[in-house]
Formats: sequence, structure tokens, C-alpha cells
Amino acid sequence: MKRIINKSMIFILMLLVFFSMSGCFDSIEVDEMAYVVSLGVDKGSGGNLILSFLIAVPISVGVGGEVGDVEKSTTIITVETPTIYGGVSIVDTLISKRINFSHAKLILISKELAQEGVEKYINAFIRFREFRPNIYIGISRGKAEEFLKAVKPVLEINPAKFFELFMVSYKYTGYSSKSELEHFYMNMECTCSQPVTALLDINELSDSSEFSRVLSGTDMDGKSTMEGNYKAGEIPIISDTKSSNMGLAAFRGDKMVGEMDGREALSYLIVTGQLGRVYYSLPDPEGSETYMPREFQGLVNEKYYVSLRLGMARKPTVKVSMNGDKPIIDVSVFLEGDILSIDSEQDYSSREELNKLERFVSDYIRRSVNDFLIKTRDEFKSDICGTGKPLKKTYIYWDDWMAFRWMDKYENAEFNVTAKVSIRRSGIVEKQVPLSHMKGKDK
Amino acid sequence: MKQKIKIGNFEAFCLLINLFCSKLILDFPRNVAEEAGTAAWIMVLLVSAAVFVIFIIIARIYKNFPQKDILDVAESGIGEAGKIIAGMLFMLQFLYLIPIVLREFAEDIKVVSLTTTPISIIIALFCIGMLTGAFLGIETLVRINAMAVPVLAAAFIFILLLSIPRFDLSKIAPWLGPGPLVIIKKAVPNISAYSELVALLFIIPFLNEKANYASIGKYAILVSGSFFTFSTLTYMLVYQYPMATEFFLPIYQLARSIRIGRFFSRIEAIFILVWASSAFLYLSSGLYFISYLFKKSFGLKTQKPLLIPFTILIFSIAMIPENLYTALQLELSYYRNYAWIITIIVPLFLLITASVRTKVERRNISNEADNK
Repeated sequence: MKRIINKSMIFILMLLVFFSMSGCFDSIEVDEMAYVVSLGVDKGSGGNLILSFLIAVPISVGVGGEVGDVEKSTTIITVETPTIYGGVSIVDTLISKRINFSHAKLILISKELAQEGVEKYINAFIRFREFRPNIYIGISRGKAEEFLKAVKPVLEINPAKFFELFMVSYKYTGYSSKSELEHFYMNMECTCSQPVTALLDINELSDSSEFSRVLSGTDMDGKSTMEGNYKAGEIPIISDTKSSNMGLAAFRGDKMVGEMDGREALSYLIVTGQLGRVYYSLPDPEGSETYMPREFQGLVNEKYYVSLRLGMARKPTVKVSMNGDKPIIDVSVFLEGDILSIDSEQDYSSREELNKLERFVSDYIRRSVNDFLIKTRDEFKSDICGTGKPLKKTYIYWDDWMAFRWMDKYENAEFNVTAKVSIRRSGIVEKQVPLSHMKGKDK
Repeated sequence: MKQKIKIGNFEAFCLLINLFCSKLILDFPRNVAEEAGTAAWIMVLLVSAAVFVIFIIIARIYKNFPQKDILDVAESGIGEAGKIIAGMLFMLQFLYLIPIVLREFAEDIKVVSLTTTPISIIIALFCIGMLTGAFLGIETLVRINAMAVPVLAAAFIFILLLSIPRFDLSKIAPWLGPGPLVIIKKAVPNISAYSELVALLFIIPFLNEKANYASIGKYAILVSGSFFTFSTLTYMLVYQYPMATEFFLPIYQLARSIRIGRFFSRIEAIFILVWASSAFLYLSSGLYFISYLFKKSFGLKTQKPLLIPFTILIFSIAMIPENLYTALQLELSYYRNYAWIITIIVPLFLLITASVRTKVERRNISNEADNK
């Protein structure tokens, strides 16, 4: 009898634990929460913040097999408040649901705010468990509020998925980089590297006649504007989706110190070994008489390009040595590419011609990476590529490393970049017979 | 007829592994990072090696006392008073540790999961589980440990393995952090990480093969040492110092950051399962040892009536710290600094005293025999 009573007691105790551990105090239904997809942070008046909550409207995203309405899949609420979580409380008074960031995909901070420093905001996000460590973080060149208002996903009905895919497009474009909250925080707190984030903005062009105006303002690679020489918001493009993700915002500590365009972002990816497989165009070496970038002087009658699919063949190697107080940074990159298109009539299928193309591409990339590194040193004064890491490994004691003050030394760095590009494949065409060979120059 | 308690080697091994390693789930990697900076993993390795050597010494001396637990040894060395004093010392050590760990587990659950549940309710729920486990007895506990620990270890290793893509060797440089002297100095109090080793000395009489206690202890230290070292190394390779000192729950943070593709993320759910299971087993074992030590010290016949009073006592002590910081301070500033004296030095002292006394008595007996 005693045994039965004991067993019953244990059974009841266990049942009690099972039921109470399922969270009766904390129970909240999914439909009682408002899921923020993106949070925009702008500078308000008198030290306040302007917070914009882009909230998913699940019923419009679609229920079950029913297709939702893209236009109504999100709603935006903007509030001015001294603190982030104060803003959350204010919004909670307005809507019938509780704000929840568990499924938030993007934190967007305005450039104006980022230039003043983002440490306190980043700390607030890192501390709060609802923000995932891998939530994306971006810098809006204009107002974050305007960006979020302008975002109109056309091809994706789920706004969360849109931001998720939008922020990882760098893997196949090369025009941005990994911009996750924890990654940013880690670099911000690191003694040997500095953070970067994706640069976002709205493209407001409505007619192709405006392209020339935009192009006149972009950084030109010699006389040609290559496809990555733009920053977000300055791209000659017209689309229903106004949001653009191109370029990077460079930071020194927690303060934004500069911007990079898409091509510079690509150099960043090459040096940090994050480059995926991207389309990359450059002038045709044989058609270089028709092209005139800085070091490639020639005529500018007709432009010929070679397009490659470029990727990393090996992880880049970065070696640092000190010459007195001057760091000598040797960067060696090894890429591989597949030919996608050749504008000129040049046949690169022979070994010699292919070597010539490889040398040209290697030299082109070497120069662009070198220019990029010089920009990080002279303009940003910020080691965003983490080139201090190899040097840190040579230290035995923490105090010695801290006394060395790598970040100050970086401003005097000298770069030696070597680049090697191997052309591996040529698409499904081995060689192309130019039309002029068959029908004459006038075709 | 009284049922005799029997514990297998693997079961005892798993019990020790869970007692040692549950602190990994709490704050161990962060604490060692705070003390030894980038060289935290070296310090952990050093501590494990030191404990291994100390245990070999303890095991050598213990050979003279087969079949006896440490309280019997204390009785042999100092007499009945010695047994009571030693028993009370060990019991008080557990009675200090268990409420703090209970509070920490409960606070952690509150922070990451049951955010609006009152802390008293969470602690009470843990107490129910703890009481149930202890009530079922040491045999049940070690058997559940033997079933659960391999699964929990696999889940834990899974989390560590998934962190490999984020490893960066430069994060544990400069290699010797604050320097060898500081590492050694800080390593000494960290021997307390193995303070639960003393539990092996309580269960020796229950072991199926008593002669294997030394192997059980050695393997438990080796495996736990590997877990401690690799977990700290993994944590430090992902989060560089001093950032590594910031996170409240280091391994939870590691699990939170794992993301493979769009679908494989939020695997901290596995971690919470590991965490809660380990906590229940740890706390139940702790409560069992508290009541066992009390019973044994005062020669009581049964310990089950002690379980509810001790559970209430543990609940009450766990509610004393005003906040999480106080609870952490009670563990780090006091327990971690001094527990090794009770769990390593006291058993050594008792063993040496008992050995000396046994030798003297033997010599006296042989002298008397010679005289006769």
C-alpha cells in the first residue's frame, strides 16, 4: 500500500512539473504578438530617436494555401522616443498586440546616427534576447524610416524572407558583405579589426532619361563606369522595388567613417575571403585600345568587356611584418573564374591568349584591391579587413598586445598585394567564331 | 529485508560527469575567460591536469581503506567526532552549492525562456524535480544519469561541432594572455570546478566493483577535463577576449548563433533540453548527498524523511540572494575560492590521518604481540 502511495505521489509530482514547465505564466498565443520584420532607427529631435517598426501582417502574407496581398503584407509604425524599448512600449499602447522581435530580420540605422556612434544601440540589441545574433544590420544613407516605407517586395510575398534574401545577395553579387549583428559587435569590440555593414538606400529614379544624371555623379573606373561603381541609391535602375543594397559603410570603433561602392565591397570580400561566386566584368585586354582606365591608356571609341564568374580559389593570405612603426601588409589572393562573355573578336581559347587574359585580370584585380586597401588606410583610417589578426598571433602576452596599439599603427601601413586569377572554364562554348571572319567587317 | 544499493562503474562515471560538467552550461567558460583572458583554455587544461594528479594521490592512499567511504575513513582517523565534523563540512559545502546552482539555473531559465514566471515558481518547480529524483534514491539517479549523460554529451558535442565554421585562431592570441604566473595563481581556486569529486568518495561502498573507484575517478576527470577544455576553447575561438567575458550563458550564446542555411537555426532549443535535464540530475544528486551525509554523520537509519526539510531549506536559501549578480558572486567570490580546501585538502588530511593512525595501531598490535 505504501509503495502504491509513494508511486502515486511521484507520478503526481512529475505531472505537476510537466504541466507547469510548459509555461503557464508565460503563455502567449502567436496571434497575440506583432512580429517586427525590420526596425529603423533615425535621429530625432532633442536627443530622441525616431523608431520605425515594419510589422508583418500575417493575414496579408497568406494563410495556408491562400495567396496573400503583397501591398498589405507589412505595416509601418513610426514613433519618437528617448530609448528603443520605450518606443516599443509606446507602440504596444497603440496596437492590440505585443511587439516581438524574435523574427526580426533587419535593423536599419541611419547614416546620420551612425556617424555619431552606434555603441549604445548595438549594446541594447545584443542584450535583449528577442534579437537574434544573426539579425542583419544595415546603414541607410537617407532616413531609415523612408527606406522602410519604400520597401515593396515584388517577387516575395513574405517580408521576412525578402529581407533575409535581400541581405545575403552579396554572396552572388559581391556588392555588399555579411552584416549580422553579432558579427558587427565582434568586430566593434575586436582589438585587431573594425566593423562594416551593408549600405542601403532607396532608388528614386522613375525614367531612364535620368540615368545620365546619376552616371555623371558616380566614381568612374577610368572613363568607364563598371557595374559595381555605384553606392545604394545611386544606381541607374528603375523598378517597383525601390530598396537597394550596394556598397558598405566603414566604421572606426562604433562610428561610421565612410562609404564604399559595390566594387570596393567586392575587394573587401576578396581580402576577407568572403567572396562567393559573382559576375565580374572588366575591360577586354585586346580591346584595351578602346578603353582608358587609370593605368590602361587607349582610345575610347568602342568599349569591349570580358565578363567572368569569379570566386575564391583559395582563402586569401595576409601576412604582416613591422618595419619600425610601419606595418608591411602582404596580401595574396588567388581567384578562379569562368568566362561568361567576350565582347571583342579575340579568341582566348589558346593557352597563350588565355595566359594573357589571366595576367590582365590578375593585374586588374590587384590594382583594385590595392586601391581599396589604400582607401581604408588613408580615408577611413580603419582596419576593416582585420589585417591585424596575423600580427596578434605573434604576441605572447595580452598587455604587450594592448600596448602595441595596432589601430594606431594601421594608419602607416604599406600594402603589397599579389593577385592570381585562373580562368578555369569558358561556359558551354569553347571558342567563338566572330561574324566578321565569315561575313567581313561590315557584317 | 533491506535492499542493498549497487552502482555500476559506468553509472558512477556518468554521475560524476554530470556533476562536473553541469557548470559548463552555466557560466564556467565565461568565468575562466575573465580570469585568464585568451589563455583561459590553457588554465582549464592545467587545472584538469592538477586535479588528475591530486586524485591519483588520493586514490593511492585510499587503497588502504577498501569498502569504506570518506566518513568511515574520518572515523578511523579521528573517531566519531571526526566523522561528524567531516560529514557536516561536506554537507555544508553541498548545502551552500546546491541552492546557488538552483538559483542560477532558475535565473537562467527566467532570462531565456520563462521570462514572466516569478522566480519562486521556477525554483519551486526545480525543487519538485529535485525532490522526486532524490526520493527515488541514488540507484535510480545513477541509472538515469547513465541513460541521459551520453545523450546530453552528444547534444553538447553537436553544438560545439556546429561552431567550428566560426573558429578564428587569432581570437585566442596572445597565447599566454595575462602570463604564466597569473594563470597558475588563478588556476588554484579553479580546482573547485572539480569539487564534486568528493561525491565519488561517498559512493565507494555502493560500487559493484569497489577496486575500480580509482579508474572511475580518473576517467571522469579525463573526460570532464576534455569537455571543460574543448568547450572553453570553442567559446574563445568564436568570441574573442574581452567580449568572451560579457555573455551571461556562454554555451547558450554559442548555440544561439549557430545557423546553417535558412532552415537550420534556433538550435538553442536543444540546448535548453540539455540544460534542464542536466540541472534536474545535478540538483537531485546534490539533495541526495546532503541528506545522505546528514544521515551517515549522525548514524540515522533512514534518510527519506530528511528530503522534504532539506528541500525546503534549499528553496529558502536559494531565495536569499537579492538578484542574479549576488548569486553569481556567492559562487565565484566565495565557493570557487575556498571549496577546493574542503573537497581536496580535507579528504587528503583525513586519509593521511587515518593511514597514520592505522599504521600506529598495527604497529602497537604487532608490538603487543611481540611483547606477549
